[in-house]
Amino acid sequence: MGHTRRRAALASGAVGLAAVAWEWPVATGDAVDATQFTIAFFATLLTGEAVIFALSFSSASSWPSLRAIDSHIAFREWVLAGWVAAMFTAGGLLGQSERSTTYGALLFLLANCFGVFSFARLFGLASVGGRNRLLRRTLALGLIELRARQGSLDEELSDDPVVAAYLGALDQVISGNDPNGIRNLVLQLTGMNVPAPANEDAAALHLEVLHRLCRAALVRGTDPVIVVGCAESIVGSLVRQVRALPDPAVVLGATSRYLAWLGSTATLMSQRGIASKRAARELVTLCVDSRRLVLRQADPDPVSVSSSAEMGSVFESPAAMVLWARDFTEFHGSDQAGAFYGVHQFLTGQKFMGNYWDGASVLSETRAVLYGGTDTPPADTPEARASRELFGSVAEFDRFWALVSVNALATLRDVRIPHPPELVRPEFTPDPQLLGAYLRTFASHRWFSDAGAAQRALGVLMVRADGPDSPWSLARARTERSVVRTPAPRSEPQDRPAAMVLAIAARLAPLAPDEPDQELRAFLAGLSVPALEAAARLAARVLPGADGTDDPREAVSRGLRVLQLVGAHTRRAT
Amino acid sequence: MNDEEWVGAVSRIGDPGVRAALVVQCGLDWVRPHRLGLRNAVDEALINAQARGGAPPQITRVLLHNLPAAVGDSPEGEAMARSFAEWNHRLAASAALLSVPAPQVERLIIEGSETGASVADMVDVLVDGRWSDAPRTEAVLRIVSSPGVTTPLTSYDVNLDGPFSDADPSVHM
Repeated sequence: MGHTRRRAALASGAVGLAAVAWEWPVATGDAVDATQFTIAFFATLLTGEAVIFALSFSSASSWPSLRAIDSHIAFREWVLAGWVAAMFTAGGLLGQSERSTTYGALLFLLANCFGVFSFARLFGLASVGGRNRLLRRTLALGLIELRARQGSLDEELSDDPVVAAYLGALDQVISGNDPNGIRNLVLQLTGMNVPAPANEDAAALHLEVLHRLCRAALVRGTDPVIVVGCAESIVGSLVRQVRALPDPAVVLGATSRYLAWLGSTATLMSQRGIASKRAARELVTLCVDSRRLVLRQADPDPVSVSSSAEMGSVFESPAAMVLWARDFTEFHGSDQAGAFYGVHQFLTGQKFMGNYWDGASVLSETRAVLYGGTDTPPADTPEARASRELFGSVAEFDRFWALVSVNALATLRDVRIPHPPELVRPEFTPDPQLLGAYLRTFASHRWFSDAGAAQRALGVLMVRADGPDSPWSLARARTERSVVRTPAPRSEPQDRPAAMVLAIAARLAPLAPDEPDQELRAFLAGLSVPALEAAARLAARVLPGADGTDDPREAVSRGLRVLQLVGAHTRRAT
Repeated sequence: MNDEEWVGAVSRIGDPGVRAALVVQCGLDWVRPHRLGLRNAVDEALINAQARGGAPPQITRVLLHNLPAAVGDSPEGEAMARSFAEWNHRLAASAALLSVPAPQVERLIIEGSETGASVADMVDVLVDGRWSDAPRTEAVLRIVSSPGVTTPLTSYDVNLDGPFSDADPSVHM
């Protein structure tokens, strides 16, 4: 935009001066004398620009690229004007044409005006603020062009030259351990103003930069305080622009999932001694706080808001909400039990009045409101109608949340490794009661009550393929269509048979200490031996108390007793 | 057979008097999306029949071992191949999970140049020692028991534990 105006101004100036030179040519001697002054100034400007250029920009870095700098300071136009002026002056002297010499001298004046403009712009670039502004604009334009060009999804974000230059500069400042460099690069990223639909590529770039910084803190030993400060601003910038995105659910889901994976990975790497405890501690804090921030965007009635703009959820359809809920519960994500209050309110239009710490079941309540309970008819709010349209039958509703629980169970943290005390945060503790609360969200959602029905439910859960209209396939298709990619891997529930067994077993396990468990034992007896052993291995890994016994049935039963810890305080009084 | 006939025929397998059953699903339509609902219904009915009280029936299923090469040339070929692979994986995994004897799945090998299977889709049940459509059923059983024509669907290679990164998420850092 800027340089078309500049070129237009240059061209019109040249044409206007041609008319002036034609009308009023001056004597050759005067023209040549005038040219001597203007050429001296031209040379001064050129020398000055060269000096500032050499001092401010390193030749090794392609960020900013020479083309970006040139289009900002109009260097080429200026030198071109000077060349044309010199040609006309020399041609006029050789060919004895006064008009030509005059035109050349006038063009030199125009070139000098341009030169001062270019010099002023270069001075602007020499400061950090000016450079950040230029790079912000370059990156934004690069992303817009990438989105316009986007042919196939196979083309990765880092294939684009502008983005590749930016990421290369980021890698360089990370290896050089340059805190100001890191901060400036992140400022350029978060200050960008990218219109839809290119802001999806911007969001993908945010997550890529977040991952590189966190990996640097864990593996390379970059100062974790700086990394976390930058990461917080990245997440804040993502959350600010989420309403303008074409598909906020996918981006928020990928972010929450990545943060949960990061927390698990940081804990694991700290336990093994690969990452320093300082870095792990900072990253775990980041992960918990950022997930809470994301939850506030998704929740239609959050616990605390700072302005009325934050009221209401950013999602516009139940498909978006269940996609986000599917991603939010993976990798032992913090705050996942409380997130279901928001899910229930979004799906049904009514607030959930119970308390999950007392053992109340949110998903059962959602099921009863949407499809009718024992004495209540299905609700008729617009949200409930939209949710019923998404899920179809109650069997699809049950299936969707069963699949979500399979993924949640499979990606829980390993309980056998002791949780370091410095990594304990609210909602990120080894407390078995917290794990019990997270599991009870799914385990209290029951649609069968005896072992035979459970075995049939397990068989159907595995053998049934999700049709293209099912909520699970819709969510998967939306996620695969987007350009947002995170390193946390995705697996389908049918690749996790042991977790499927545990998901069904959890829905048979007794929820209170005095309830009988023979249905659970009968169900486990009806499994094949390899499947039972795989389920026991998984239970030993993720459920406290399941390790340390050889009998696989006993291991699973003991592990599932963690569900009974929640609501214990309500029973003690009686 | 249309959809209702299929569902009716397959749900009869769960009846108490049925000793054995044969289900042939070798048509290419079974991996197309418009038949997915029926395919799911047939699989669920077979699970219910397996889980019935008393002695479960001995079910023989005949599926394709591989899709014909011509499928890859059609525009929906990739989706069909994915659906076929997912179906086989789900059948193998569900057979690995339960201790009730799973249906014996014979996978019919077809040459790449052939356009389809030589056996037609059908469902048949054995009641009181008699097949209801004896000539066709016995012909199919003869075909699938000749050596080299089929391989059984095995479950020993189903990874019951799930992907490695579930146990150790840091491998992807």
